[in-house]
Amino acid sequence: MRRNNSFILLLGFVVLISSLLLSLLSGAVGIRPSTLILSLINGEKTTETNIFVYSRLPRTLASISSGFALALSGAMLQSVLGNRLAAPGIIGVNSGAGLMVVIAFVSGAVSPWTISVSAFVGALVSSLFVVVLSRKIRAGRSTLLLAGVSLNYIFGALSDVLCTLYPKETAMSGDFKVGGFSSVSMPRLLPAVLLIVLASFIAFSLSKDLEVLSLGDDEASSLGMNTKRMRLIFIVLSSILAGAAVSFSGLMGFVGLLIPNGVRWIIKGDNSYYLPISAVFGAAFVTICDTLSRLVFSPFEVPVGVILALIGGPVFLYMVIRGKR
Amino acid sequence: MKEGILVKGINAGYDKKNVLNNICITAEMGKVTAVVGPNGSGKSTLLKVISRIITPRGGDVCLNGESILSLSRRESAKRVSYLPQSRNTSDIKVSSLVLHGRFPYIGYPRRYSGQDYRKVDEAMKKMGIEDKKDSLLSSLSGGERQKVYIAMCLVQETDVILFDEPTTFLDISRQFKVLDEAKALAKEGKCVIVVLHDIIQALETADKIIVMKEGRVVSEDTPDNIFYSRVLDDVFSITLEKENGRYFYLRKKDGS
Repeated sequence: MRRNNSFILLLGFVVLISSLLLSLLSGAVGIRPSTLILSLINGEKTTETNIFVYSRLPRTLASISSGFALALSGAMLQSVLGNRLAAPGIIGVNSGAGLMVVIAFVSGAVSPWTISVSAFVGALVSSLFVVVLSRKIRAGRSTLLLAGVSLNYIFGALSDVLCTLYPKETAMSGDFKVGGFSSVSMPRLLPAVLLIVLASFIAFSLSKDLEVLSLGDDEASSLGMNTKRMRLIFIVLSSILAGAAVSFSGLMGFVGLLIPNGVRWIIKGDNSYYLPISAVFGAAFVTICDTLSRLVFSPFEVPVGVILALIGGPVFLYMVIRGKR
Repeated sequence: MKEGILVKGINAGYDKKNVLNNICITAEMGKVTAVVGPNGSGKSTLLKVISRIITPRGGDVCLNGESILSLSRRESAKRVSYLPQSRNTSDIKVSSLVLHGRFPYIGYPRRYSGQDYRKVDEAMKKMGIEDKKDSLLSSLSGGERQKVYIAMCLVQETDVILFDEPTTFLDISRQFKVLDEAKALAKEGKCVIVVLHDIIQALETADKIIVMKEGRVVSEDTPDNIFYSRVLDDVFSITLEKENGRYFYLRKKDGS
């Protein structure tokens, strides 16, 4: 079984690399790899190299990073809360991050670092609210979800109020609400990517702890784990990941829900490599959807969040129906 | 007395409510100690204190003279294992779950060794579940699941094993099998403490009975002495009888 999961992870990398190449080379303007490589080597500034360096490269890095981070964040949240529907887009984590990003824009704190940190704070507050509430009132799975959904609405409404009151400062909000990468640039991306790399590294190194924690509090405690501390660590990590992703990609739904559930469906109870497999497939999925968002209605472009929902929705529905049977 | 668990003046509870009040008990190595009492008497809370799931508000728990509460959580998990009463049977592969019994022994960066995997194979073989190693836990019957959890405790290699109502939801033949496992573990020298709802099973299985009521220990003795002291009659409002070495009980009539 361990070998199966290694194979699935390898397959994920193959899909990710293929989607990466497709994303770098496809779009309204086609780029021939041989010409591009020659121009880059010779240091020529052609239209193709400009498109590649200033548009395709940051965009592909953004799609990979956000898919990676949101799927990983969703996988951790679902395990920590013991709820397969506890995705960052559903329980208010993304919208908390989104609200803080809007506040940052309104207050004029628009440096890439302040945006990333604001998003993290918003995501953390939402996650902690849901976790503390579920502990305090010993909430069942549906109560927890309903609390998260309420939070989603509240934060969404507050963001809308700010966008209405400050239309100039929050001009980016249209693309931001459904998720997209059209306004992504390298300087805006780099702090978030750095946070994602750091949080992912720690998360992967603690994946055994996550497996034990998801057995339940009593089991995990009796195996020597300080469950409160570990839960907090995973909440902080998933908030960093979701917040960092939201800071440049906007409120992208479905990835944190669909990918971890899909991965669980595939690996069938063998949880080794669950986190890396989720992250890699999340990255590949968003990258493929972003490429499609540029190609399907070319020369027009739809936000990637729309494509994610159009593909992810039916796939998730299929999984739900299959699971019922 | 062979040393084992010594609980000294434990007070514990949830939120502001005290569930255990000045609990003092002993449980020997190589013996099965059963804890009985009505619902809410604090039986499960007592096991949770011994296994460090709940931190007590006062008192101490010692194993062979050493305070468990002063050890790190990992070190105490190498000494005491615990089978909880209710579990979320998540979609986890049997061998993966059993392997988690080795968790207290692995340091950062959390990698199980070949020796850990060998111990898992041995434990599953011992419990007769080696053919289920690739099965999902959720696909197993209640009795098989108990065996998986016991195998997990075995690989944890602890001196003390705590069972919290291990017979709940099992049919009668499987209940006996689980209790036989508890006795077999005690025979290997382990200190086994079992919370049981069924007082007849407790009297017939255990070497020692601890009777609890409303967060206090009412009595602590051998099954025979407990029977003759009539303490169970008072605590459970029954009339306990013994005939040809077998126990049974009758419902106590009002005013009797």
